[in-house]
Amino acid sequence: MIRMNDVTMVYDNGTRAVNKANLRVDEGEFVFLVGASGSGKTTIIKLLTAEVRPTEGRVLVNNYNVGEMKRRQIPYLRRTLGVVYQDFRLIKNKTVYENVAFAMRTIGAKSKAIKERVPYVLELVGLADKAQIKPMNLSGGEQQRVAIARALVNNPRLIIADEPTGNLDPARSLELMTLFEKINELGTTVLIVTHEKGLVDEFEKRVVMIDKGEVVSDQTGGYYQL
Amino acid sequence: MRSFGYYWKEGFRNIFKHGFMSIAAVLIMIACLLLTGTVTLIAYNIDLSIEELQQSNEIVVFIDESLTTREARALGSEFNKIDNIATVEFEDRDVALEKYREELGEDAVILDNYNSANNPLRNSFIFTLKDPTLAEETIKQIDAVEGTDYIRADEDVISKLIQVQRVFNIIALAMVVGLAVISIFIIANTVKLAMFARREEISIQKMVGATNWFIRWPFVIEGMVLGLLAGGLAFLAQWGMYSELANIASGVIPYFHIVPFDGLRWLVLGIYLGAGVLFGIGGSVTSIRKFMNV
Repeated sequence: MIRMNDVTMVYDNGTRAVNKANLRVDEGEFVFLVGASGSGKTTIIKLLTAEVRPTEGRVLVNNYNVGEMKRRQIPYLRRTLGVVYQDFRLIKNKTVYENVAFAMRTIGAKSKAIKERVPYVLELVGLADKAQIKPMNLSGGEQQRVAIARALVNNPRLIIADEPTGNLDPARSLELMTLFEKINELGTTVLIVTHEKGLVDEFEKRVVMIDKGEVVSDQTGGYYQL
Repeated sequence: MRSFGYYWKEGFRNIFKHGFMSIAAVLIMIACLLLTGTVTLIAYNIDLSIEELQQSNEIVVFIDESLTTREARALGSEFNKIDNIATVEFEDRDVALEKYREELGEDAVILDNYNSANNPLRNSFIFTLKDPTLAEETIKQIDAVEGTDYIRADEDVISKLIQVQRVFNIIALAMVVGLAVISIFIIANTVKLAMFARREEISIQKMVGATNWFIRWPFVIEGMVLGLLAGGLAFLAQWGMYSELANIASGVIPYFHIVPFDGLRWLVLGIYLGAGVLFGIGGSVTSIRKFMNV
């Protein structure tokens, strides 16, 4: 699923965002990636989604070698992933249904498959009755659930969520984490980047802590150690 | 192939969805095509008129008096061998005398004592040239033909016309190239503005695993349709403008020969549609490139 071996990532301006990091995530796991702002969490996400390439070391995601793959292979790696961002990244002038269907259409899915799959995923995230509403008319929590539905719709092997509760109140955050837990129970691997100690502690999952670009602790059933 | 219908649907949907930007892009393309096209057509007509003036500038060769009219006429075959001569016309000295009488009208009495026996005029040839820039060389070749006595050619006028044409061509080319560059710049920026509004959509497509061509195709189709529309409308506007300008020009300068639009119609249509499609597709594809690097 995910293999990072001695990975270093240095940006063009000289910033060393990741430093000799090692990480292994297996099929079906639920992992929290935690750390303070600027610790290198987002760069790790960018490495996993091939937005950036490692300066040193090897990054393997769903059998794709991010450092060595050709540019034209990147879309095929991304089709094996579902990514959820803090700012939702929904298309404002499309309805909830269209936003989710858009992800399927983009990879060339047939109309029939779209008509079957989208209602199922919206049902899963609890938005079946909001299918024809535009994102602007939804609450933050609901918008994030649309983003999760979109991430799930292409049946990815791995869901990566970058600070998915960053814009939500504690009650909505808890609901969302419960949804991720449910998705994980259905067989999808989940990697959540967060710095919300309360949430991490609440779920007692595997916690990988990053500091200054290095993995400083990795505990299953662990807590967020400050 | 499954996505082919989707590309067209998306292309057309984008045109209507971003209606204001589509109209702006089409109007700007029309303005640029019209401006560049009008200057090109005016330049083409002026160039053609200068060429006509050069070609209508005749060279007259008077034949040695010792040659009979038959011998003089036979020289025509020698002159025909000279490459740069476009037309050769023989003028019989007796015909020339009659013409002169007609020209003089009432004053023709002064020629009353002249007839074919004591005709003071000579047999002559009147030439027009294929390439007036080679006039000097051609005159030398004519002069070398045995029986040629005297050549009357307005070399100065020819060379001045050639100079005028050269300067005009440089000015016209500079204007057309300048306008084309400005047009491309304006069109590219208009399209870029339209693309900027859709950068979020493009980044989401990239994020969920769309290939570059999957993202690009609807934009290519959109650019092509808008380009064709702009080219077609610009052609119709050009047609109307050209006819109006031709009417005005022929009223103001009666000797200025203007090529009828009918003769240029298909060429102008082809160029406008081609340029429209090129600007449309080129503008779209180059503008989305920077949003694709995600």
